[in-house]
Amino acid sequence: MSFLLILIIQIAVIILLSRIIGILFRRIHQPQVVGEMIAGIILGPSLLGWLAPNVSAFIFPVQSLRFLNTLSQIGLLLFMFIIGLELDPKLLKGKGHVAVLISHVSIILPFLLGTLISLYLYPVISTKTVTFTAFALFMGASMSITAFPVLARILSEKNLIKTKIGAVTITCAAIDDVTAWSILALVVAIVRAGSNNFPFWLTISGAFVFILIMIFVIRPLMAKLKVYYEYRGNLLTNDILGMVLLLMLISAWTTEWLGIHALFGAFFMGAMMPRDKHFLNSIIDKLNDLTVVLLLPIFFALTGLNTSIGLVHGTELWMFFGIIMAAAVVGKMGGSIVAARISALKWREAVGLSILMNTRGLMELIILSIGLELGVISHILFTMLVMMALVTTFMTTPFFDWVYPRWLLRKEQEEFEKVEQKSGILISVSFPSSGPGLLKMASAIVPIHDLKVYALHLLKSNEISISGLGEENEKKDYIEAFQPLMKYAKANMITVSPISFPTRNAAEDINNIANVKGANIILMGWHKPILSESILSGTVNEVMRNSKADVCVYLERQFNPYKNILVPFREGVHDHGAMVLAHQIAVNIDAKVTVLHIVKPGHKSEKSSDSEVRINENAKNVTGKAGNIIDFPDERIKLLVVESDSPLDTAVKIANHNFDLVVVGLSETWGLDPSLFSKRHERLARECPASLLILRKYIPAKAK
Amino acid sequence: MKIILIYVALVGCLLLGLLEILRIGEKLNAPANISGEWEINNEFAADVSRSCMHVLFRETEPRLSIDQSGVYLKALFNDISHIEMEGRLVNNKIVLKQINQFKNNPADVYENKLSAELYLTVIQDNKKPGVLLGDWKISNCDNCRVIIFSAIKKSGE
Repeated sequence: MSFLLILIIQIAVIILLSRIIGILFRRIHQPQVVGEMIAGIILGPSLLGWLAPNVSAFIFPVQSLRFLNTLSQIGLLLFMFIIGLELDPKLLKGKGHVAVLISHVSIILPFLLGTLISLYLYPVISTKTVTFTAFALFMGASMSITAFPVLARILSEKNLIKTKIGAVTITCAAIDDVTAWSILALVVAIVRAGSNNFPFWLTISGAFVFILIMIFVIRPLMAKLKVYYEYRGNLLTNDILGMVLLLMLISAWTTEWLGIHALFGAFFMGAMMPRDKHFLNSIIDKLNDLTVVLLLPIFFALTGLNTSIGLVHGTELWMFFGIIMAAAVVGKMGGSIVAARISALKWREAVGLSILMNTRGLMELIILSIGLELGVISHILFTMLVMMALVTTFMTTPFFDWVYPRWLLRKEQEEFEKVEQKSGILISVSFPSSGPGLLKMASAIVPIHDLKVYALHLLKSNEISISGLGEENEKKDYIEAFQPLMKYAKANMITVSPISFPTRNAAEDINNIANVKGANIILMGWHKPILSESILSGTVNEVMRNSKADVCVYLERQFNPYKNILVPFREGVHDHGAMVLAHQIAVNIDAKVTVLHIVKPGHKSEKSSDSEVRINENAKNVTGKAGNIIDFPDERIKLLVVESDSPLDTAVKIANHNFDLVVVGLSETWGLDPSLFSKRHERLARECPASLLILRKYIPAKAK
Repeated sequence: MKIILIYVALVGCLLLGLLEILRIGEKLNAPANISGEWEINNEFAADVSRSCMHVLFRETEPRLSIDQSGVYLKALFNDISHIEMEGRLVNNKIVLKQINQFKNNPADVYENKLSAELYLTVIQDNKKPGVLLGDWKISNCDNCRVIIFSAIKKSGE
């Protein structure tokens, strides 16, 4: 029979079995991918080859496997490229040191145990052609991996992403993924050192140059390709896809040539693509089905053909398997639990997290196939490690269900949703042109990855028509009002939920929406009422008086990024709030804050130290985030103590010196009391050349 | 700050441990690599053909292929019966025992309870191809004599 006919039979059998077993596994609440992995094992010498050697030899003659292997390698390249595309930088940034600590300890401890058991395994299960360093590093890497894609699938199937444990786990797994692949690239380079034309130092320096080219040449090029994609009406043409695949193949070829491995090049190319959800999803959509349904099962089948459970026989070999399992599970779970407990997670959360992190799945199989291909691991060891990957992946769901029963998860989901709801910002957009500025300020107050923005545009009652045209006008107004804001949001990858409806009482509706959406900040722009010169009157005044959220009024004067922020400070809850807010902004946009503390003449010497202490204490509070993480030192805040009889004059004078943003609490001291109706007030707003952010802190009734 | 200190301490200790393990491990010895294809000395085939196992090796190029996982060996002959053997390699000494039964039984007088055994020594010199030297025995056969076995690692292996 020709090889093509054999290949067609092989692929048909592989797809059929992987779908059937995959579906069966889904029925028993296991990820489908576990079933597909098992299907591969079934087709190998462990079952089919053992039960029906003739059938196995007919379907998978040794000479034909190279064709399957080629298809499988292409599948892995595409899969790693998709993994790179799905890499969410938001998960890696700004989650504090907790996720990094958990992730790195959960990598290094199993890595250490992997190398430790190598002291015992190497003389028995390896050969002289493999150095101890290569063997031990590879064992370490294979113990420390967490399967991000399988984990993401488990979390999403169980709807765990919306829980504290799910959020922490997915972040840790993402960090794990990047770290573990970087370690593995290094391990492969060490293993291959000397065996190819490149010496080790050249591999490393070549990899460094490759990374630089990818970041500074390919990434901007890809950004242009995305622009072209948008120009083509967000249509992923075959030309664009062809270009992307070509670059992926070049990248894979380069890393293979450098002695790292083609898979790293494919992964890195995926990670370098512009982080535009629409663009990425359209590429993933085109590649994913073919890869997951056709090519990955071929990889699983080949893994199964290389896995012969029969090789592991006798007490000694089963004992080795036990040692490998213990090192993998104790290392991964132990590392995660210790780091999670140190990071103040509860016992149940720590154990749940560790069970999830122990999922190895497909990524482990990829690493093992690299190890087998490089000759670092023997067939027996490969089989044991494949079994370990299957067991650790299989045990995830039942163990997690045991630690986290459904009722508890539901409770956590509800709590998480409540907390999540309270971290939103409601932007009141009166004029289309003010939208981008307000959104920019919102993203300065809360980092983009934590930012949940509701943009509210209220249609005034005179805009509402009872004729049929009214609806059309509303739509038109809605589109116009949000267009600049949404454009800015898209360019900066900020998720905004636009809300618009007709109103008869704007202030009431703004406060209602803030309550319903759980926004803790209402951000408003310039709202100059018709009958008044004052900013803080009319709707703004009404919103401030009745709001149950902090209200910020933003006057944007400078469009450059803010570098120097001034906070006039005297006393009171709004001044304190302004200082907290200013520091928060400074941390997010990398700016400096000067706290201008104005004291009465003659009080400077005796009061400055007190004030300093008080403000520094406050600064500590400012830096202390939930979970007691101190992200930045207090050097961002400078204290300036000035004696003055007229705080407002002094604040106005100093605000004129090189400050680009003034954050001020609502207070009569600064001429910013909404109850005042004189021309004198709001001098700070009128005479200060810098942008101004006025804060009215919400004081709950109990606190009052 | 506290988390950073803990991070540095934990990760630092683990990395130091890793370096120490790598240092200790460098002194360990793994078994010689004998996996791959071996050309069996023709004299052995001739000897076998003169012995009670006379029709086993009909191949013009008698070969042995070894699959090795450290000390664990699996060997396969290209003889008529495709003799499969398993064994261990300890201190350059190999003991292999047949695990399958003789197929196409060469002579009706032999029963399936017969099985082959190999006792070999690995001779390796970096400049020359490896050599396996030792005895081929048939257990449960009083008439079968011990035959000297030798094989040379195929070039390029």
